[in-house]
Amino acid sequence: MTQRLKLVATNMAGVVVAVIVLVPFLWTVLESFHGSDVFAPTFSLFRPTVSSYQYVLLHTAIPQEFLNSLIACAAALAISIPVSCLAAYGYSRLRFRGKAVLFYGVLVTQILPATAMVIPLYHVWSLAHAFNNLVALGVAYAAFNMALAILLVRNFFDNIPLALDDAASIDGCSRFQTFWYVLRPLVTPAVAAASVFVFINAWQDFLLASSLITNSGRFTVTVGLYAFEGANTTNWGAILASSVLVSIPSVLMFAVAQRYLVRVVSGGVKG
Amino acid sequence: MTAGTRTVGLGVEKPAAVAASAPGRNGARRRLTRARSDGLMAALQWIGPSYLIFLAIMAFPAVWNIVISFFTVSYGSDKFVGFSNYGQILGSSQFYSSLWLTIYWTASVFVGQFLLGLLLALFFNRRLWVGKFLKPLMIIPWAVPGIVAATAWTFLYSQNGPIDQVTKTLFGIAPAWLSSTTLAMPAVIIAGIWKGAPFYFLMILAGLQSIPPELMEAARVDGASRLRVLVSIEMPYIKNVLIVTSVLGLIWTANYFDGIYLITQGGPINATLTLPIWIYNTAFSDFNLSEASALSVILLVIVLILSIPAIRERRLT
Repeated sequence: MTQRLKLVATNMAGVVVAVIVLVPFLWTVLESFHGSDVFAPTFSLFRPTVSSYQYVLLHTAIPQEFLNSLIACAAALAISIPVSCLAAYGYSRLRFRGKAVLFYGVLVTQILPATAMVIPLYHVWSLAHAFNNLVALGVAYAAFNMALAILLVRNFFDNIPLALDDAASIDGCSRFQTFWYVLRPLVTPAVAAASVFVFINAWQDFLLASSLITNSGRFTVTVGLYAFEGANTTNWGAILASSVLVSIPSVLMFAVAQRYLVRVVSGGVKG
Repeated sequence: MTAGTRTVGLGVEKPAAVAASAPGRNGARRRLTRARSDGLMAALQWIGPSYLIFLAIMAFPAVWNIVISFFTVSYGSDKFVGFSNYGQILGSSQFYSSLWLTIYWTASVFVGQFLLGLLLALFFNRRLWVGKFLKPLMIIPWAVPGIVAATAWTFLYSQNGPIDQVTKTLFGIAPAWLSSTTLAMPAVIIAGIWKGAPFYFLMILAGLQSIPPELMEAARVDGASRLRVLVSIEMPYIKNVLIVTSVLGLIWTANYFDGIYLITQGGPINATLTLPIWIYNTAFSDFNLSEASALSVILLVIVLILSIPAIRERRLT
């Protein structure tokens, strides 16, 4: 009986711990259903209302900014994923001089922080007149996330026996045919995981978007939300409702990606 | 890894690939159907596109930025000024204050995230009915965009906000967290710890769950205390996980921008002005692009020097 009681207590403790950790976000979610008078005594009767969400969806730029973010994310995915798969195959299957050095270069790009690269990019963007271009922003996202994708997919390639390549080549497949018809279907999980991570990182970015996009019509969700907060400092209901909306895609993607995550991060180690 | 492998593969290669490219070491694994080298041209067909993007978005901007850091950029005329931008930065007290704030921020957030992540992982590393439901929720702080975390904490810290109400009822005080030069940094550090701890939680929990149950059972039979199990079994067993997680976490934290900038913009009176935020403000608030360029070069050099061991670590462990 005491055993059982202890078990119940531990589970309860687990819930309490989780609630404490999540309080800041739970608060955001709760208050977003509170309407506009967020600072009314919070412990009074709580009648949820979606008025803040209605306001955000109908009277703010958030829907447009969702679209802008999706365009940048789509561009990032469309560029980084095919290019990373090719490179991953090259590092896994080909032998050539300078491979180690080139691969070292890939690892360096993974560590280059966006904070140190934002000014250099700003200069190049002004050379190339690429400001306010969501596809160009997507290219930048692709560059910052390709190392991760290459590492992840290469790891999968490395775990596929070479015998499979040999069999395909005996059957008359060219290298590219082997890549496309034999190996590509086998690395789908890695490609899926890489895509999810590219999307999350692109969706969450504030730094690059805020310096490479200057026209408010092209703002992504993160920059748009920040601008909205600056312009409507008292409309907490709408600010918090927008926050919840902006979080949904990235939280969903994280839920999908969670089981890959550990493998991704330790992937560079075990190999 | 042995020293021999390291010399062959420049420390970056994987053992399998090394064995394949050095047939002398392991003749049995050499594939007779393959040429010794596929040639750089053939290789470029595969890795070329990725390198084009790296060159265009990383290498060229970095080099161009170094060039610009020797000029003053103003409307119409760019003037070569040699190292004067660098002199300006290294001679200003703000540089050393920002460097200190960056170290202060990084160290506090790292320790906080590590300990919180470890404690949560130890707690959830057991059979719980609620575990399956709670574990995915625990990563929410990490999964929300920085701006959302910043908004939530700005709201919590705001005057007469939730934290004020709690401290007022409990202690009768309501410190102005974000407008005090002494409290602003601890305030953003707390927010930073909250945001990143789930990463450590997830990684450490995965490490703990990979420990064979027999090992823990043996310790229990031998009557080892909880602390003893942690120090002598769990920590050594997940050492590699801890190293990689910490190295990545440290690099991310030192360069973290969103969480600080979106709450305080570096203020009040530069109290939270870490190097990344100083760069951003120099360029986009003071519109001093040449000094921001020189600062970026300095930050890049610091990061590269610090991360060489990290890159080696990642490939060699």
